Amino acid sequence: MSKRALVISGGGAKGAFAVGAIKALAANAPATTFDIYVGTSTGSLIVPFAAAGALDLLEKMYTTVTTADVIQKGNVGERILADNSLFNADPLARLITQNFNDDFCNKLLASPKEVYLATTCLQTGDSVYFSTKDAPAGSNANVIKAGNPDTFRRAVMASACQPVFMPPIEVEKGKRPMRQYVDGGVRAYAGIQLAVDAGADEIYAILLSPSAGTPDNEVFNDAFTILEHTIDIFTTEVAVTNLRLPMLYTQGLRYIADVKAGMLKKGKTQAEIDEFFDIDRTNPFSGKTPVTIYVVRPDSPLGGGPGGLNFIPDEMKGMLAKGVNSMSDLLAHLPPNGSNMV
Amino acid sequence: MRQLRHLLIISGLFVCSQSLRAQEFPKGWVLYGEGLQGISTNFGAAPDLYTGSLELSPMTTVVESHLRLGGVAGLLFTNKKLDGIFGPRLAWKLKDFTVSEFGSVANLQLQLEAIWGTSNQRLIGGGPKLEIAKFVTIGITAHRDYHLNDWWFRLGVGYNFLHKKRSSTPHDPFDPNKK
Repeated sequence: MSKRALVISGGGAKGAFAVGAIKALAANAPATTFDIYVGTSTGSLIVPFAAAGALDLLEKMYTTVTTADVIQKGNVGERILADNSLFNADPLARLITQNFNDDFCNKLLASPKEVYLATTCLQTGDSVYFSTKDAPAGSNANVIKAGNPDTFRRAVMASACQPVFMPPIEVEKGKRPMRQYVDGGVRAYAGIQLAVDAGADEIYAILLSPSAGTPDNEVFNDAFTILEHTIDIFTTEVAVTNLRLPMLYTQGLRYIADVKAGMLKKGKTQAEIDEFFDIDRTNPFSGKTPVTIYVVRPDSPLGGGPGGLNFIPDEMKGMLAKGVNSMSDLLAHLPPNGSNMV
Repeated sequence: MRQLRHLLIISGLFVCSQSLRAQEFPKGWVLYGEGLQGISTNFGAAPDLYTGSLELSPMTTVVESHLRLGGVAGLLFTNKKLDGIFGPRLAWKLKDFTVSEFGSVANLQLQLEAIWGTSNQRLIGGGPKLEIAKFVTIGITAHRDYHLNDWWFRLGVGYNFLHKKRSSTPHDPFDPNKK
């Protein structure tokens, strides 16, 4: 059965770009609906609402929320001495509790749509997805079903909590041994591979950073600015390596499909072709079909401060408009069949 | 009546905005234990005297991000005698020191106090103080003893007994009973 997935990366305030892109998709291609939703960090705040079709609420959130609605800054020294993060994230927990109420969560959990929220477990170092459904059959991904509203809310929070800046979250409250989870972006910038594992054959991946870093000529002469910049470099590296595998996988599938088509054209029978490719059942692509990936991402950095933690409504309105433009541009130039690996 | 309502709204907005911003001098209490050493002098022929004191100073923030009020009490050693001292104290925050966009690390405050001693000392004065991580302070003070006609100059360090301590269980942002 054909499945379509929406994947949204992390990026804090830059999630406004994703909201703009989803809005443009809904307006220009209303028939494009999704079966699978995968979110990382800010993406995890967006995909549940996207799955519920609550686009107006998403737009309101990502154009009105301010930094103080998400984090509370304090005395850094005091927090290093006594807390487990530089910022207090209680405001974000309140925001999540208000918007992801029991009724909303229960409807989502009962929905046939699959929602996956990417987190990273601090104790095991594993990439863990909390989901409204059980793990996809045959997937190597570590998927835990978030079976009740409280666990779901905590999973959304954990996925959004950038380690060091925001506190780790005990998603499965009371479970022992205790497991604390942080932003899924530490291990998985965008869960494209999970979408493939879950059976998606068409993926819309909305990434919140541009493909190539833009060199700047800033002279770095203080440690904290260097720290911020280093975190940006690490994040970009995770993004690049995280995308490489599913892209390579898709290219591999397409290559094999092309080779098989060429062999058929040259007069080989399907049985002969299958015999060539299924050597002692070692073909890792056996039974898989090519995946079409449409990547929507900004052309230049969106802003949003370090880790995207500066939520400035006017700036976010601009990001949202860029998201609308990028998705509209993609839809206008959509190839009839093939992946758009920008 | 209408003006009063406007005033209340404006005051509410001010308090609200302060609560969002206050990284230094947040609402609540501090309890500093301080050790000070220095000299008392009358700039005359009499020799300068060593003074040392141990003081306890509870203070509470009355204007968030700006002003603390409280008191000070302690033991003072000077002129080979041990005296008791007490009096009111205020601290006015002058400046926040921040680290990039991460938040504050320290503040510079001006402390003013009146101190009465059990040997008829009557001091008034204060000085600048650096408060680091809401945990320790270092400062210098100058006081005028308007009764005994002396000047006191001291250097002090302090430790906040009420500073936030690391909990054995991690903070849970969803816990309705959290502090």
